[in-house]
Amino acid sequence: MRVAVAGCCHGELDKIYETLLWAERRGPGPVDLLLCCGDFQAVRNEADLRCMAVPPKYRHMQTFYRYYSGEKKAPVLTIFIGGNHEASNHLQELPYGGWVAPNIYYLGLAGVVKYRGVRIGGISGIFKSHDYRKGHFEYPPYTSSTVRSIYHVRNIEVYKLKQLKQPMDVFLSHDWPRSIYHYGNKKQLLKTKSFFRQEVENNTLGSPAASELLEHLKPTYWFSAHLHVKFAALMQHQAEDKEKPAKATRFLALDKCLPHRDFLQVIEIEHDPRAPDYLEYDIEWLTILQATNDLINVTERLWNMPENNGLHTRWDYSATEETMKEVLEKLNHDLRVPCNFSVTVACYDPSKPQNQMQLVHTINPQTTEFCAQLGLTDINVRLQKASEEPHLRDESEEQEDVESSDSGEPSEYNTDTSALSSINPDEIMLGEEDEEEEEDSITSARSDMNTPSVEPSSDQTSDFSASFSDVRILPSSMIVSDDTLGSPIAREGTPGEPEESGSGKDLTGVPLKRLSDEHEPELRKKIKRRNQAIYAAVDDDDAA
Amino acid sequence: MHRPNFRPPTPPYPGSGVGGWGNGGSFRGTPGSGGPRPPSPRDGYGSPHHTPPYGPRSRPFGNNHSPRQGGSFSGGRFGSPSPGGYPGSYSKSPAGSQQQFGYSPGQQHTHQGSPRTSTPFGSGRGREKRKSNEVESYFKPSMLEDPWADLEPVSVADISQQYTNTQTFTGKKGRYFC
Repeated sequence: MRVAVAGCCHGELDKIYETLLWAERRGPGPVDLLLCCGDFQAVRNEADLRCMAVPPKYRHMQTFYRYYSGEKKAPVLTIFIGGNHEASNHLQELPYGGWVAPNIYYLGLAGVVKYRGVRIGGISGIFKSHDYRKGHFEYPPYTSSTVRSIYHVRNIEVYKLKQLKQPMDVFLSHDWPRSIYHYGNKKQLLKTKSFFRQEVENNTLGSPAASELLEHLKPTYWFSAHLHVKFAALMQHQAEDKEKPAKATRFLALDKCLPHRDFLQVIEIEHDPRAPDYLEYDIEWLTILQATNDLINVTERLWNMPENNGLHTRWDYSATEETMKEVLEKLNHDLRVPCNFSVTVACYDPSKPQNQMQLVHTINPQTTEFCAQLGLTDINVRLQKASEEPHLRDESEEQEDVESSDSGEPSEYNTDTSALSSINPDEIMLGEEDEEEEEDSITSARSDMNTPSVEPSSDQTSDFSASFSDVRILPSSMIVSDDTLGSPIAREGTPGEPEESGSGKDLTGVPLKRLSDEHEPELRKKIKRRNQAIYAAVDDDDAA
Repeated sequence: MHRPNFRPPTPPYPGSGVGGWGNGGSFRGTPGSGGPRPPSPRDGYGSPHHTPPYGPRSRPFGNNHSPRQGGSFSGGRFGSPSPGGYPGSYSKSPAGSQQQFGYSPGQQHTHQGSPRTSTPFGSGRGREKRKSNEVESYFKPSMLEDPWADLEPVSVADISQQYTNTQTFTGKKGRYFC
């Protein structure tokens, strides 16, 4: 089948689909599937926009909301992973994946699906060593710290993916696997991006987590984005069995969606003509999800995955024929991904901008349905319970001593913190013209502080759902209202809530000025950790 | 091997599976579409380095003319390996080689700038302003070419001898939950 792959999308869905149409006419014919490698920006409204870790100047609504509302429809099945510039609150609703709009499927924190027999896996986010061994503890409204850590890859997701045994056809990661640049035209890469040289030579560019997965999964194709350059590599794995030929991975990284940039690639991928032409769950992956359900961790404390070191009663969570059969029976032998998209929040209306739209930690009915089918835990439900009953949250304070030199009260309405610190360490190096833009944008950081407004009513939500036909209209009982969830604003200041290291909750007192790296320590909380030495060691990795 | 006949005898766009989205509307139905536009130098089609991707002679897919024929790659999971191991071979450029990064001589790749830390978002006032948002400025012929055409496989064994720091774990072990 013909597959198009896109690099960083940055909300430019219209442009991508238009270019795809153009490409189809230029030769290859219709494309069956579009894969997007992150920075998708599934922004539905103004509240989502505030959850993206970008300076305010770059918080553009773009075009996704038109697909969410039903005004437009994706002309081809689109599957994507998350990157480091996302409407994180939206993607957080779907930790196991789901539809963000009709025909647009998010793979989740990690996920595997099948389309026409082609097995497609992916992992969302980017690697940062200091967050890698934490649980999924973040929830909206995010602080200046959690708005970034939310998209950092966690060891549990890598661990789950490493339980896979069956062959993988396509895998997606936003950041590149570390070392992959040694398998392609490195000289040309460094000519184009000369400032990668040192990291390439030191072999520190890219994600070691993705590299582990690449080594384990050995997919036929691996697609990435993030570094905004097209780069192809051809990796010959070592043969596992002398009687079988060694596997090879064709790696391709793509640029971001802009004119004259290599943000799109159309390739032909072998598929099974007998397989259905709709999206299917992967039975091995579902079985692993079920097996590892008890490993869910919603705390900030560091942990390691079970391994065969004498400390764990179980370390192998791979699927067996028997367990897969059990899961299949649970699903009545129907692996079809249900088309159960529903609109859950009010959609952006250009004629009625709502800059003060309230941000809500939403339980998505798709996730509820998925978890109910398989007996899984919705991470967001666990997080909400933990926030309501702080003792369930594993006393993060006991893990790390946090000494705050700032006794100011947390901001009541401070949800818009992504631009408060100087340079987002997760952003990558670009051209000097971009830096000019960045400098211009920093000082306006606090211009759009979030204040609550009227939450969309059930009626509103139903109206949105009814606007297009193939969308599931939620019964009123499934629509999450503010009352059922509790106010995120109130929760922000909940006494006893574990304080996050590096939290930005007290940032209302921060002067409205650019915080350079040099000044940052003076303005932020002074944090003393028991394991400071470890942090100091691993923070070197953040340079990439 | 069924590779050359991959496209099932179905309508050109994936049909709507039972209860599916229908895979959306056809691209052909997009408003404003008016059929193929003649090639222009701006698209890079005038370049000798590019094969016109349309027409029976140069259809980018399915001719199984791979520069790596005879390579040792395993094929896909749904049939025997295709020649050269690449299931979707592309037409070779008449120039003998495809440009690695897909830039035609007539196209400048701006925005690949200096090592400054910045946002990955596009600039509205870069050195070379984006003058047009028309879709043709977004399309590049290299988007249809085999990106791996000029590459030789590199063995993991060779690279891992040179570099070892690919592991995620760099510090002390934390607590165990199980």
